[in-house]
Amino acid sequence: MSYHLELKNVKKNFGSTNIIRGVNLKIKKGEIHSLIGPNGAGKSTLYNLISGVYNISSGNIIFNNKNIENLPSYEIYRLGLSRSFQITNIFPKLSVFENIRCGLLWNLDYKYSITAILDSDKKINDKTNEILNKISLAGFSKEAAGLLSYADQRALEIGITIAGGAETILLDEPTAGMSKSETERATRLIRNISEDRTILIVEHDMGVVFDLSDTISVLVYGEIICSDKPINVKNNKRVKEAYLGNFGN
Amino acid sequence: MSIEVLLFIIFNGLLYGMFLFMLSSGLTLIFGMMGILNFAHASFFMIGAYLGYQISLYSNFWIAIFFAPIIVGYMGAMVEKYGLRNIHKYGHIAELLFTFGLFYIIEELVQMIWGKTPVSYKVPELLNFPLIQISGMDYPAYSIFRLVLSILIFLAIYRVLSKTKTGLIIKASLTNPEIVAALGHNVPRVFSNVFGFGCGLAGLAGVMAGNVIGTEPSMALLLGPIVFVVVVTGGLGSIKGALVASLIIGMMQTAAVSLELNLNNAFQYLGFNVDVNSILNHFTSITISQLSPIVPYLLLIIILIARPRGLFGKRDV
Amino acid sequence: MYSLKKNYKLILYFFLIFTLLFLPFLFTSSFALTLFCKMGVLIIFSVAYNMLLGQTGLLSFGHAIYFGLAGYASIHFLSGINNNYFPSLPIFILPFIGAFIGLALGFVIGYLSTKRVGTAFAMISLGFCELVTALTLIFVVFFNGEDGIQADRVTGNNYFGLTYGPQNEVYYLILFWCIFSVLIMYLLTRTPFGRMCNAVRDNQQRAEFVGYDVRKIRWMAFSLSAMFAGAAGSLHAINYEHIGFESVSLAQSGMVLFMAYIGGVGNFLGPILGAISLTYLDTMLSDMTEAWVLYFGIIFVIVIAYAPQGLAGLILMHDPIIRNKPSLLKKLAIPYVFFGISILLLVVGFTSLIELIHSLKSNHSVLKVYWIEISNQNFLIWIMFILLTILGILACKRSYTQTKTVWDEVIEDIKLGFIK
Repeated sequence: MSYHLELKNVKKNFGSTNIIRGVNLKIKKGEIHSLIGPNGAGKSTLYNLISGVYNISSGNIIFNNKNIENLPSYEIYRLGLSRSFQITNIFPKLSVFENIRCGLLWNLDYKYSITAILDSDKKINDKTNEILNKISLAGFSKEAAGLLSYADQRALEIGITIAGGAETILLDEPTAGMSKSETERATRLIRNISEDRTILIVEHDMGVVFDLSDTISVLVYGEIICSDKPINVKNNKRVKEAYLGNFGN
Repeated sequence: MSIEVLLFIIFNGLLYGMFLFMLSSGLTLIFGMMGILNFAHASFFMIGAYLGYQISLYSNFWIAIFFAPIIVGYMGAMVEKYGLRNIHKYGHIAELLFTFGLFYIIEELVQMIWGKTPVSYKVPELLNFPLIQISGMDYPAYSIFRLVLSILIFLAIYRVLSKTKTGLIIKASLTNPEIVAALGHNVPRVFSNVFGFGCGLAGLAGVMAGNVIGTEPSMALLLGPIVFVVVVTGGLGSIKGALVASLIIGMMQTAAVSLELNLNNAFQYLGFNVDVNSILNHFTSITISQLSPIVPYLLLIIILIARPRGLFGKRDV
Repeated sequence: MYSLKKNYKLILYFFLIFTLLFLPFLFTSSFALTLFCKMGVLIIFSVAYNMLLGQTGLLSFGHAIYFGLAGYASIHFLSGINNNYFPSLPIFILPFIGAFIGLALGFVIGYLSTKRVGTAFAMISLGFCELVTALTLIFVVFFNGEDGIQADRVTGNNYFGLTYGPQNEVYYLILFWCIFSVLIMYLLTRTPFGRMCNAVRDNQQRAEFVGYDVRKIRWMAFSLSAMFAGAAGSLHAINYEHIGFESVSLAQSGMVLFMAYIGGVGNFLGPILGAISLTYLDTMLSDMTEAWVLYFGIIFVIVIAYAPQGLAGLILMHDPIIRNKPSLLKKLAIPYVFFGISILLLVVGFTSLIELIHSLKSNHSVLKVYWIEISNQNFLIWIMFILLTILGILACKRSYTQTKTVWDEVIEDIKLGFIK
C-alpha cells in the first residue's frame, strides 16, 4: 500500500553530529498522526527536513508519490504540504486579514501578479473572511497581527497554514505555552480543520496527543522507536523506557 | 616588468596595505562581534587625524599619538553606550542607518570646528628625513615608523585575541554572543569596550595618516567605503583576514595605479590599431591606472555575491 | 458608513489634484515653481525608493544609480533630438526612456544583489554606487567628468503647443508624471506582488511557506523600484537641463534614504511627506544656515532612535486608538502639549548654540537667530542658550517618560479590549 507521506531512511547530520539517524515514517491519508519524543530527539529538525528548510544528508521523502527531498520550501508548499512553526511565525506588521489573504494567494493562482487589485476581488476576500471565521478571529481582521494575544497569534498561524488549501499540514507544538482553556480552544480548532486533511503534529501535551491522534510515532535520539495506535503506544515497553529514563534523569 | 617597478609596487603596496589595516581592523572586530557595520568608522579615523593636528599644535606629535586615539576610543564607547545600544532592538539595519546618520553629523561638526579647507597637519620634524631609497624613490623615516608601528599593532591585537582571557571572551562573543552572556559575562560592556577600542584604532590610524594624506572634512567619505571592502574581504571578525585583505587591496591598487596599459596596447600587440579619433578610442584608451579606483568596489561586490564569508571568516556577512 | 468614508477620501483626492493644478497661479514666483518641480521629482524618487526599503525591507545605498544614469540617458537623448540624431519625439515621453533604462539596470543589478539580504545587500548596493560614481568620472565621453552634461529641453518641437520653455509647462509635466507614477506605485502595493513584498519584509520564512520564491519577489521589487527611480531621474534632467556625477553618488542615495526614512517607511504616504518636508526645509534653510546638513543628520538619527516609523508612523500609530476607543485621545492631549513645548525649548536652544559656534568661524560677530540679532561676543548670550539647551534636554527627557507612560496605559487599555 502506498502512503501519503513517507520517509525512507532519512538521515541528517550537522558537521559530525548525527541528528536524524535513519528515520522511517509512514503517514496515511486523512489521519491525524502525532510525533512525540523527549526534548532534543530531533522532532523540529525532522519537520525542517520534510518542509525543505534544511537539505537532508541521505534517504528519501516521498509525498503523494513524488520525491520532495531537498526541494526548496516554496515548491514543497505548492505540492500541497504546509506547516506551522514552534515559534509563532506570522507577518507581524500586516493586518490579521492580510495575513490570511497572503496564505491564499498562491493557491488561487495569483502567482506574482502585478495587475490584480486584491481589494476589489470578492472571491479572495470572501474566502479570507471564511477562514477568519473558522479560526474565530473575524473580529480582529483590521488589527496588526503583532498586536494579538499569544493564543490568537497561534490560531492565526494555523489559519495561514491551512489557508492555501494544503491537504497535508505539519503542526509544530500548536499548544505550547497555552493555558488550559486556550489549549482546549486550539484542540477544537485542530479537530475542526482535520476533517478533510492529513495532519502531522508535534506536541508535548500528552492529553492533546492521545485525544486527537489516530497514530502516534515516537522519536527518540534521531530514530523512530514505535509507530502505532495510541493505545498500543501507551503500553509499549520501549516508549516507557525512553520516557521514564528521560524523567529519571 | 622590471624588478624596480615590482619593488615599487611591493613596498608601496605594503605601506598602503598596512594603512588600510590600521584603518579597518577595528571595524573587523566590531562588525564580527556585534554585527554592526559602522558606517562612521572612517569618521572616527577623521576625528583622530584632526585631534592629532590639534594636540600637535598645543604640544607635540608624540603626545598627540598617545592621547588622540584614547579620546577617539572614548567617544566611540559613548556612541555605543548611549546610541547604538538603544537601537539594537530595531535590528542591524537600523544600526547601520544610525551610523550612516552619524557619519553626516561628524562630517558637519568637523567642518564647523576646523573649517572646510584642509588643515596643515605636518609630519613630525624628528622623522622628516629620507631614510631609505627604493627604486629611486626616497622614503622618509616617518613612513617606516608608520609601517613598523602598524605591524606591532597587528602583532599585539593578534596576541591579545589568541592568548588572553579577554581575547577568548571576545572571540567567543564573535560566534555566540548569547552563550557568552549566559555564562555571566557582561556582554554589553564587552561590546562597548570593543566598539571603543575599534574606534580608537581608527583614531590612531588617523593620527598617523592625517599628516601624509591630508586632513580635510572629506577624508571620511573618501575612505569610508574602502574600509568595508577590507572587512568583507577579510571575513567577519578575523584580524588575520583583515591583514591579508588589506595587503592584497594595497598591492592591487598600487599595481593598478602603476600600470599605464590600455586596450589599445593589447590591440596593437595583436596587430590592430584603434583610430585615435573614433568613439571606440574613448573606451580602449582608458588605462588600468585610470580604472584603479573601481578595483576595491568590484572586489566588494564579487566577494559579497560569491563568497560572503570572505577569506578567513567563519560566518557569512 | 464605509462607502461614505470611501467617497470622502475620493473627494479629498480630487480636491488635492485640483489644488495642485492651480498651484502655479497661486504661487507665481519662479522660486516657488522650481521648488514644486523639485518636490515632484523627489516624491517619485522617494516613493520608488520606499518600494524597496519600506515595502520589501531592503536597504539600498545605491538607488541614485538608476536615478542618475536615467538622467544621463535623458540628457543625451535631448541633445540627440537637438542635433537631429534622434527623431523629434515629444519631451513628454522622455521619462518612459528613463524608466526603461532604470528597469534594465535594476533587472541586471537586482539579479546580482537580491541573492543577499540585510547588511550584505546594503553593502552590495554601496559597492555598485561607488563603482558607478567612479565610472562616471572615468568614461568622460559619455559623462563628461565632474562637469556633467547639459542639453536644451526646448527642442523646437511643440506637440500640443508645449515647448517646455517656461517653467510652468515643466511643472505640469512633472505634476502629471508624479500623479501617474505615484498612483501606479500605490496600485502595485495592492496587488499580490505588492502584498507579498510586505510579507517577505515581515517574515521571509513564512513567505516561503505560503508558496513564494522570496528572492524572485525581491528581484521584482528591485527592478520595478529602479524603473520608477529612472523615470524620476529623467524628469530631474529635464527640470535642470543638466546632470552631473553627484546625481549617481552616495550623497544622492543618502538624500532619498533620509526623505523616505524621516517621512516614514512603514506607510505609503510617508516618503511623500518626507520628500515634501525635506525638500522644503532644504531649500528654505540652506539659505539661512550653513549647518543644515548637521540638522538633517541629527533629525535622521533621532527618528531612527525614537520614531523608527517616521512622521507618518507617528501620526498613524494613533489609528488603533481612533478605531477602537477615540475617547482615550483626550488622555494624551496634555502630555503631548508639554512634550511639544519641551521640544521647542530644546530646538531653539540647541540650534542657536550651533549657529553661535558657526558664527565664530565667520568674520561677523552679529548673527540673526529666530529673527533676533545677537552678538557672539556677548558672554551672557552664550550662557543663556546653553541653559536653554540643558533645560530643553531635561524637559524633553521628563515629558518623554510621562508621555510614554500615558501612551502605554492607553495601548494596554486597547489591548484589554481585544481579550474578551
